[in-house]
Amino acid sequence: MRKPLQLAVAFIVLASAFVLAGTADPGNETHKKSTSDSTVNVQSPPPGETLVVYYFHGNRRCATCRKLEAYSFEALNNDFKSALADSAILWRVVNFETDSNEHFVKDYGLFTQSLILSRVVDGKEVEWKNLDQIWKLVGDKEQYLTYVTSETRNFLTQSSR
Amino acid sequence: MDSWLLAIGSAVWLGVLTSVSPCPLATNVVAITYLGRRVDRPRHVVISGLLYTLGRTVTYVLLGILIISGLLAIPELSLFLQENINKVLGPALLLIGLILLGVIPVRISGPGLGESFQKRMEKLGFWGAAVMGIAFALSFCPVSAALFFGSLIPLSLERESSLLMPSLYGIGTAIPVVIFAIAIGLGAGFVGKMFNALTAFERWARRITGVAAAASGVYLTLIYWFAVQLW
Repeated sequence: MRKPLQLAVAFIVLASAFVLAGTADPGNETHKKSTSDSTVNVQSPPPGETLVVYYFHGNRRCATCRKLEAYSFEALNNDFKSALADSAILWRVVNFETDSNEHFVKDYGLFTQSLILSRVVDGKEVEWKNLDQIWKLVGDKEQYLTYVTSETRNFLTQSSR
Repeated sequence: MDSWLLAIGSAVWLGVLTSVSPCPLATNVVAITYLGRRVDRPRHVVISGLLYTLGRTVTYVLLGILIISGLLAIPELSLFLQENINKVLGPALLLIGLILLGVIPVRISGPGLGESFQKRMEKLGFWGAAVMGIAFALSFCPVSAALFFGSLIPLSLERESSLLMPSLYGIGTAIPVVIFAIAIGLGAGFVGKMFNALTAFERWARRITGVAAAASGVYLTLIYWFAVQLW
């Protein structure tokens, strides 16, 4: 019975030592440019009704996370190009781990990289939806694109009712 | 009944999906080499695999209970685990790898602690697998966080099952690793016997475990402490 205890103690001691010792914070943006880093700033949408599509990520960008972002933008760009061009749809890539964006974690209950549709009327958010199937579909690009497109279309349709 | 079968299948599948996704690859490689390293003792490999599965399963059940009972909130817990456990795991794996390789000779003095730490660690075998299961289950990455917190927990809530669904998910996460470990361990053992070199095979398997642990430790340390983007 001593052996498991010893291993557990060794692991906990090691773990504690590293946690206590370290203050190094990797909280900077990643080294690679994302598909649309130019849109990282979360500026206010124009007056009237706008659909803001947020892709939220943390400080570390895994390969799958980058796919989520790229596929999401591709879906919008394929099917809503004119809406993107005239700002009826705004594409925003946001790091929720930076101080100024931390509120999004609470606002949308974020617990990992997420794609959120947000309806904004005259600068005020009136409705939002988390496209929570993206992680299940990221392995199949066609399905992923179809999912994002149809959810976005549904969201837009609901608003025009 | 059908919907329960579907839910059971979904929970296991979510676990398998978590395990085969790219981000837990580093820890999976360590687990496979660790579990499969006793090529001279097939029974040891199988029991270690079961205990690794148990460690993962118990961890997910506990997390499920804490979340479903409302004691912990998903966003805070998920982000805390993603940030901190991997930060601990990287240096810990590096250290363990170096000890297994004998690069760092550690001796613990005291009553009844005459053996070298390295030898003691090797002997820990079974229970090390369970502890590894717990630690690796806690080391969430974006994919596993999305599948566990975003898919498994809602499924558990829908089925009012804080035990069964997380257990099945835990088993699912362990299945690919354990199958690989058993296949590699038994395969290497068979080849070792054929060439009458089981001891040499066992020694090499242990070294490979050390290298895998150290390499994964370096990889996780670079990512979680120094924010190095490797891909």
